[in-house]
Amino acid sequence: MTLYVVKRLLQFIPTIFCISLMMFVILNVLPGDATTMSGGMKRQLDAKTAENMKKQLGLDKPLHIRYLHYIKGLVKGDLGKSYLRSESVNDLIAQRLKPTIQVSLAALLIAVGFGIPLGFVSALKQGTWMDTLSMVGAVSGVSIPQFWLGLILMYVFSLLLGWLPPQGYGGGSLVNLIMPAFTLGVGYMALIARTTRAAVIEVLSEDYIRTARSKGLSEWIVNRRHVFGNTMILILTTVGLQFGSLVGQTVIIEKLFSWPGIGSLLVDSIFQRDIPVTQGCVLVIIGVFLIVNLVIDLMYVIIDPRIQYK
Amino acid sequence: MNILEIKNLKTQFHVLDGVAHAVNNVSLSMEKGEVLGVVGESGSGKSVTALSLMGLVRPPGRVVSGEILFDGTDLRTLSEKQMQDVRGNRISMIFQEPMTSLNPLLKIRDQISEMVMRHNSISKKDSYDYCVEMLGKVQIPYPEKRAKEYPHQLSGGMRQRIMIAMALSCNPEILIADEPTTALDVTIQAQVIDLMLNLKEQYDTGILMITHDLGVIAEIAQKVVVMYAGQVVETGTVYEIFDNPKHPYTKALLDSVPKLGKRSKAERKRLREIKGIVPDLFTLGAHCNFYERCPDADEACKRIIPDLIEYENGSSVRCIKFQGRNA
Ligand SMILES: Nc1ncnc2c1ncn2[C@@H]1O[C@H](COP(=O)(O)OP(=O)(O)OP(=O)(O)O)[C@@H](O)[C@H]1O
Ligand code: SF4
Ligand SMILES: [Mg+2]
Repeated sequence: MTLYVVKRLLQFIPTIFCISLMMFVILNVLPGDATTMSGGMKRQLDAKTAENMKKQLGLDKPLHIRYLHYIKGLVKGDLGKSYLRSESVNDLIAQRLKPTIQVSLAALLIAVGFGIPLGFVSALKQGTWMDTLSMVGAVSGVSIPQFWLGLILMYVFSLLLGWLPPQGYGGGSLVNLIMPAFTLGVGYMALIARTTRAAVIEVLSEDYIRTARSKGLSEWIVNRRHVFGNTMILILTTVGLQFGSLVGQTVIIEKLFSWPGIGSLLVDSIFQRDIPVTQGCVLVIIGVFLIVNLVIDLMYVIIDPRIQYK
Repeated sequence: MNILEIKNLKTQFHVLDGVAHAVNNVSLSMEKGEVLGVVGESGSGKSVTALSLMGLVRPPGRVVSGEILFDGTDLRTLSEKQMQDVRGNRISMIFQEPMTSLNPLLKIRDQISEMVMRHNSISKKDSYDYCVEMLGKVQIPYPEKRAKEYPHQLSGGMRQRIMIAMALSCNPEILIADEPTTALDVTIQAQVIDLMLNLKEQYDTGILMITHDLGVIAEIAQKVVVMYAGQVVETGTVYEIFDNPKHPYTKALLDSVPKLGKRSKAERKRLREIKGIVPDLFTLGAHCNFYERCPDADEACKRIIPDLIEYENGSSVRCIKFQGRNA
């Protein structure tokens, strides 16, 4: 098991390497660099200043030299220096990681905490008004654009009711977390609810559920002891993969709610052509994705005796 | 005394194509400690009859009418809660599919002990010990070790034995065995049958043995019920059914079984499946269900739905051509 984990972690290295190469090439051949773009606008610098800036940032050197330099740092865990800010990319990311993790985990909690029970109720009360209601909710949840939902929430709860602060981190206070986490989690919750419903219905038709009933167990015990675990196995992959892409979606949410996380840092860095920061952010998001996947595979080992990793 | 008496049981499945009359007016009875064989082609309603008896028919299926008298009480009048006290405890069932009938996530001993603990006041530890004892009784080697394993670690034959151990663990009065051997290979089949017979002697459990396999019936049953298209077409003692079948369907069924000493080429040609197909359960006509395939059919059979006529205590036939015992 430990060996397996070590092996999986080692496999991260080529993945990270490939992604960094791809990203480096794409970002560096895109038209415009830090000397010509700022905040998505054309930058008017005179030729002399621009030339100096390029030299200072090392942008005058050929691409492969720049990449080698970058990869050298990466091996040591150094993500480079921001073109425009005084901090190193490592420091920038260190500051921004916590808010992103907070809002992602809160969204996960909301999605799992409501999505799974909703899916269960819906499947067990299949065809009743409760089922219809939750599935209509789930379909709307998946279809609502996050940006729009965020704006509506902000309008209602901040502007009209004044219950929640519209934007900002607020030093990490709970009231600030509620809206971004909810906006981020709603689509995810809806997806989990639908997946859970389908999984429960599938499990209920299994022969071993009929066996469980034939033992004289009550419906409640059958659901708790036999339906639940087998349902979890069916939904675990969806829950996990979606969590990975949720971390990617923080980009939109953080910008909307001025949430000082990796996502908003990423957006800013792209607009400013601050390539090292962009690369750092993407690598961190990918890293989270890889780790989440590993955690899911390990969770399978815990709940499913048929799966063993060596 | 009859421990079980099913009267005019009707179970239907309401699906998109219409209503499937899976069990259509089935009546049968079983004495205490007796082995009652139920035979019939695939789709004749054997499993659905068993599930109806267990109260385990799920939507889109529904038991529509009839009585299921078990030890004098009609199971259909019991509440779900009361029925749970019967299930597994007084009537238990072994299912047709040994590979998928155990929960893949739970250890064998937990799957057996949850049933034992449900119906008896017994501690978890004692129920584990009892589970090992039961596994030994169904001749599972190294029962202590196997009890702690998961279903995927066991072969099909072993899983079926575990199902038997489980089904017998609360000393039921009736054990329903739905094709307990079909999914197993031949040598294991014989072992499983032997085992069930031994256990039956030991516990005096009545067995409702559902099977396609007339050999199995001949070996262990005292009485036989022959089903066709959701109906009982003939009942009788095992001797009557094998030596002197009355219903054309029963005759055809017996004809389709190879007989020792009759392995000549000509005989082999006669050894065949019964011609034609089982009628569509959605559109049963207003005539004898076997009409299309019956070698003895004539015009009269087309106009009438034959009743199941009891010609002798416990023996009956559903065919208008049958006039009485010596006709
Ligand atoms: N879940 C279901 N949904 C719809 N129809 C069903 C269902 N289960 C059974 N039926 C109907 O009931 C009929 C009888 O099925 P049953 O399983 O009792 O047959 P059987 O005699 O046990 O056959 P086999 O020997 O193949 O097990 C089937 O042909 C089918 O039309
Ligand atoms: S009633 Fe007629 S068709 Fe039906 S089994 Fe008897 S002889 Fe055959
Ligand atoms: Mg069957």
